[in-house]
This record gives sequence, structure tokens and C-alpha cells, in this order.
Amino acid sequence: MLELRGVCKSFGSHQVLQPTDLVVPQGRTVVLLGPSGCGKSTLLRVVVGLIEPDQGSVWLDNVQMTAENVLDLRHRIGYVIQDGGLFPHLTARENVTLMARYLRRPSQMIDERVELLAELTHLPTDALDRYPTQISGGQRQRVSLMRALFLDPDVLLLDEPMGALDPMIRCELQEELRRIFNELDKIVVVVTHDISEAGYLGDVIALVRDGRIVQQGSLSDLVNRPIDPFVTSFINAQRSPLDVAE
Amino acid sequence: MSKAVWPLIIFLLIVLAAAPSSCRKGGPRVGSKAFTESVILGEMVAHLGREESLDVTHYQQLGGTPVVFKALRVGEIDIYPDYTGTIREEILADRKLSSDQQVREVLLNEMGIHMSLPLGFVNPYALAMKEDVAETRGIRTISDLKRHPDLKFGFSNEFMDRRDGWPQLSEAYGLGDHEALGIDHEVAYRLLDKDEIQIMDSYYTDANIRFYNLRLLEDDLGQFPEYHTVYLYRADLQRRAPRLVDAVRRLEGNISEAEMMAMNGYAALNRVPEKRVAADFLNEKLGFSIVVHAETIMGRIWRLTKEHLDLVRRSLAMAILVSIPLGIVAAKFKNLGQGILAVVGIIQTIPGLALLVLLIGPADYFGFSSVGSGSAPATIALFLYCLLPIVRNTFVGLNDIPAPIRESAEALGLSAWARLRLVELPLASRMILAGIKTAAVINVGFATLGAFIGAGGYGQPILTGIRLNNTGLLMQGAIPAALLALAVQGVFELSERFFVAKGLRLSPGE
Repeated sequence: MLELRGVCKSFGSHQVLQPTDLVVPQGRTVVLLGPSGCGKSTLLRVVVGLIEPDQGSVWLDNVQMTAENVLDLRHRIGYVIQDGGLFPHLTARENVTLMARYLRRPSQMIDERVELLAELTHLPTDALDRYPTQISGGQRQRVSLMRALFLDPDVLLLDEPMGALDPMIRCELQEELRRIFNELDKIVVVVTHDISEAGYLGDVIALVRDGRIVQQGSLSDLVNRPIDPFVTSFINAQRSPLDVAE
Repeated sequence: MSKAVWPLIIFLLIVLAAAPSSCRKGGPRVGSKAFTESVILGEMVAHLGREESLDVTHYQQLGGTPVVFKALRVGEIDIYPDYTGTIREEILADRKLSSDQQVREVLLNEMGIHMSLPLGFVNPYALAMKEDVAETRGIRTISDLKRHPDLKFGFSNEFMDRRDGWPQLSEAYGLGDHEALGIDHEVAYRLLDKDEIQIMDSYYTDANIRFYNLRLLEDDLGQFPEYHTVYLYRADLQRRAPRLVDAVRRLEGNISEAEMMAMNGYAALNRVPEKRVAADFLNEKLGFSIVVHAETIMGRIWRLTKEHLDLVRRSLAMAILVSIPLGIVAAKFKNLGQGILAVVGIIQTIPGLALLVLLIGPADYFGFSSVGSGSAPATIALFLYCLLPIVRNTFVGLNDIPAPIRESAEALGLSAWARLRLVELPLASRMILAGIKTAAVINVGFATLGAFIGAGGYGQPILTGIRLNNTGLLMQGAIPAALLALAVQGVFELSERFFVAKGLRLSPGE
């Protein structure tokens, strides 16, 4: 179980995160949804320890994240960002296996894991020995996902994972992500600004505005039982053109 | 690249930085100042030493009086020729000594330096002007100059500053209204010839007087002190090489003005190597039969190349070992980084010659040799000049890594050291290598500085070429230096394949 307790953060005089609580149980997917600059990415970066909160704490299975254990805890967290964040000097395979090789895992185990994850993410095997600049954006995200999953983490964090992809590939990858989340039974947190993506992937959607979670619930909760006018206006702003056409 | 290679590369760099110079010798060391007469007199001592089967090294044209005398005092050289007036009025100026006998006593008792008896010819300073200009204006004596305040003076910096030089002269003759510029001595002859200046300092036996057809003005008030030529040598040379000292003392009283002027003329005007000029004199006058084996041009260039590479490899290897960590520190600690970049930037602005002279003191303090091949000041000066490009490029290379990539490495759970080693340095490798390449090319060019301090290299023929106005000789240094710079650049260009990961060398769409 992943838990955020009263986490808040300011950059200078600008408070990007109000004191925030969030609980994600094993096997559940929470989507942080909101307009850009609302603090949802900051929240995710706090979880992986890239940003140290001013106050509050992050807990993973009742262990509090500290400066001492953050490197170890990160081995239990996979993190995927927009456009992959792959290392350009390494091939896809080298990117995926970097951490396991650094930890001196047996090479047979590494090879098996690469094969397994390539199958899971539907990455063509010939892409494995190419460099990030030589493969497509969709493939880069698959490699990035493989890298995040390599050590079989308990937590998977995805920050706008499909933000840089065109709609066709985006749709395909969304389907695969949903399948993977279901298969893997992990704690998943996805950041997006796209409401249909949020509804498609998330068990729970947390709508974030100005560094605060405004409402948590299912998509239908947000549509039918908004607790704040902002919820409605955010949802209406993203109405599908197909709805308008009806 | 496999990580097992790195310790090997670091080890190799340390070897390159620390391996002893291949060119250094153990025997007596002769020095000379940066003008033809001094070089010829130095060559004579070198010949005499070789005749005594000693392994003598001659560090030619070490520069001005302060550098050469300092080298003698600290034992970097054992013997060099100088002039009594220079010793009294420049080296021991603050002692206000009145006779050569007093000078001799002070040198021996306080500094452990012997002064030989005069070699024969006197060589006082003189003011020179073009014969035709002097004739038209009717100028014969220095006093006559007072009537021509429009004449422009160009003096060597040494003459401008010395007590017995321009300050005393202008006061005695009342020439304070004339414009006097500090100009390099060899350049001054050319400016005089072009009538850019009309008066310059010269000395009695200078071959250029004949070449440029100059008139020496009579010192009618007797202001210039008498200049006898002597050898200065360390007291311990008497013990280490008594026969060399004996041989050198045979020169006392044996060189006349006419003979010295002729020798200067052969070297400066007829382009006979100083080595041969000196040998011819010894053979003729003292009955030696010294044979000078002229160095072939290729042999000479090969020797210069070895000396040059000696300077380059040490300073560059040291600079690489120091600069990359400095660049990393600069990138990781912002405030400290600004300081580091400022300091290495300022170092770059110090003129080469000044840096060289500044470093003689510290190098001597730490017991490093200053003069000759493997010269510590020359190596350190080059090392310092190499810092900026490498530090700067390492800093920029690390700072330019996109934030998402840096954070991805962090989020994986790699330690700071592992991130640096596995991700950041490989990504900055091309930039760092470019910095090293720049440093290497700068280094090859600047290593010509080594000639100022006897470290040899391509600077030596360049310096001699300027001194003797010999373009061919100058090119023997300049062309190989340019070729070596190109070769060094090429080597680093090729090494990109080895040091820069393939993924970073791909062109888009490849």
C-alpha cells in the first residue's frame, strides 16, 4: 500500500502542493487528473523521491521514505515519463537492464526477464538492440515501461505516459496499459490531463486543482456527483466532439 | 565501452604525466642569454667541455639577465657569459659597488659564484642611428641629440629600466623631452631601418650595426659604464669539473673586439650556426681541432619533436586528470563551480612569458628544475592553459543533459556516483572530448613557449629564427608545430569512436 500523509511543497512563495493525503492499495490504479500546472506531476515526483516534501511523508507498506532508504525504495518503484526518458547512449536492451546489471543480477535471469517483458509490452525483439533515436515514440514508451517494470516493483508511476504520442498509437497503448495493469496487480499511479484516458485506466480518479485533490472517485462519481463546480467545468471542457455531434 | 578500460586509461594518463623526460642529461650545464653573442660564448664552453669528455648541455637563449642569473644561483645552470656592467648595474644594482673587484668578492662570498677575468673585448651599451640620417642631421655625439627633439627613441625594455640605461642617460644628457618607446631589440632594428624610430640602444659588437649601416654615437660625457665580458660559474663547478673551468679560463683575455664582431657577423649575417662559429674560433685561436657535426634538418626536427611532445604529453595528461574532476565538481556544486570557472578563466588571460617567470620561484621552492627539457614552469604553465577548455566543456556537457534523462536515472535508484559514471559522463563524453581536443591543440601551440626556458621543442628554431631574422629557421619550428597540431586533432577525432557511445554518434534517421 502506498500512502501520502499531509504532503505539501512550495517553490519560493508559490505553494504547488497543499497538504495532501492519498492512499493507493495493492492492485489498484489511481489517476491524478487535472489541468497543467495543477501540481499532479509534483505529487508523483514526491512519491519517487525526486522532490522532497516540505512537510508530510511518503509510506510504502508502512515504511517511511527517508534520505537513507530512498535508493532502496526506488528499486521497488517503476517510473515512466513522457517520451520515455531513455538514455540515448544505451540500446533499448541496455536501458531496460541497466539497473539489474548495476545490481549484479544473474545474466540468465536478466535475459529471461527481457524476453518476458518484451512479450508483455508487445515490443518487437529487433527493437531491443536499437538505440532510442532509432525506434518510434510508441516503442520508446514500451521500452520505458519495460525499464520501469524490470525489477518487478510494487509501485508503477506513469507521468503523462502518452503525452507525446499521436492518437492512433495512444489508443493502442492505452489498451495495452490497461491489460498490463490488470495482469500485474501492482500499485499504479498515472498522471494525465486527458479525462477519457483517466476514465479508461483508473479505478479511482483524483481531480487535482491548485495543488489540492478536489474530488476522488470513479468517473461516474465525478460526472454525476461533482462536489465542486470546478469538477463539472473541467469535465465539460473535455467533452468529446462525438458527444457534440449526437 | 567496457568499464574495465577506465582504470587502464587513468593509469596510462598518470604514466604520461609522470614518466621522466627522455632528453635530460647529467653533465655540466651551460646557459646563454637570448642574443647571438651570448649564444656563441655559451657554445664555446660547451665545446670545451666536450673536449674534456664531459656530457655538457647548452641551454640556449634562456631570456634576459634575471632569468639566467636566477638559474645560475639555484644551480639550474653552472656557467654562462655576462658583462661586468650588467652585473654591477643590474644584478647587484642595490649594492652600489664601484669596482669589478668588489663585484667579484660579493659574488663569491655571498652567492658562491665565481667571475672569470675579462675575455678581452669590451662591449658597452651604445646609442645607434642610421648612418644617412646621422649624416644629414650632423649628429656624432649623444649630446648632439638635444638639438633634435623630434627624433624618436626605441629601447629594449631592459635598457629602459636599468639604472645605467635610459634613466641615467636622459638625465645626464638632458634628453627628457624625447619620446622613448620600449620595443623588442630585434624588432627595433627593423623599425629603425624603416625610419619608424631614429635612435635605439645597441652594443659595440653587435653584427646588426654593420648590416643596417648604423652609426654609434659617441658617449661624450662618458656615461656608459665599462662593460667587460666574463663568465660567471658556480663554485661547485670548480669541484665537479675542474678541467672545464681550466679550459674556460684559457679564454680570458683571448677574444678581441674585432674577433667577437666577426663571430657575431658570421652567425647573424652569414647564417653560420653558432656552434660552428664557436668551434672555428677555438680551433684557430687555441689550437683545438673540434669537428662540428652539423645536425641534419630531419634529425633536428626529430629531436625538437621529441622535446615538444615531452612538454605536451605531461601537461596535457595532467590537465585531463585534474580538469575532468574539476568540471564535475563545478557542475555539481553551483557556487564552488562559479569560483572554479572564474579562476581557470583568469589563468587563461595571463601572458605566457609572465606565467613562465612567475612559476620559476615556486618550482624552485619545491625542488623542481626550471631550466632545460622537462622544465617544471613550462610544463605547469601549459597544464594551466589546458584547464579552461576541459573544465568548461565538462561543466557544460554535464549541465546540458536534459532534466528528464537526469531524473530518469535518479528515479531508477542509481546512486549519485553510479549516475555520474553510467549515465552523465557517457552523455557528456563528446563535449568533454571536444574540450580535450581544444586543449591539446592549444597546448601544441603554446608549447613553443618552452624555448624561453631551454625546454627546447619547436619554439627553439622559432626563437632563433626571430633573433637571426632567418625565416627558413623559423619555419623549421612553425611548420612542424602546425602539422603536430593537426595530427593531434586527428587523433582525438578518431578517438571519438572509442570514447563516445555509438548511440550518441548516430545521425537522425540512421
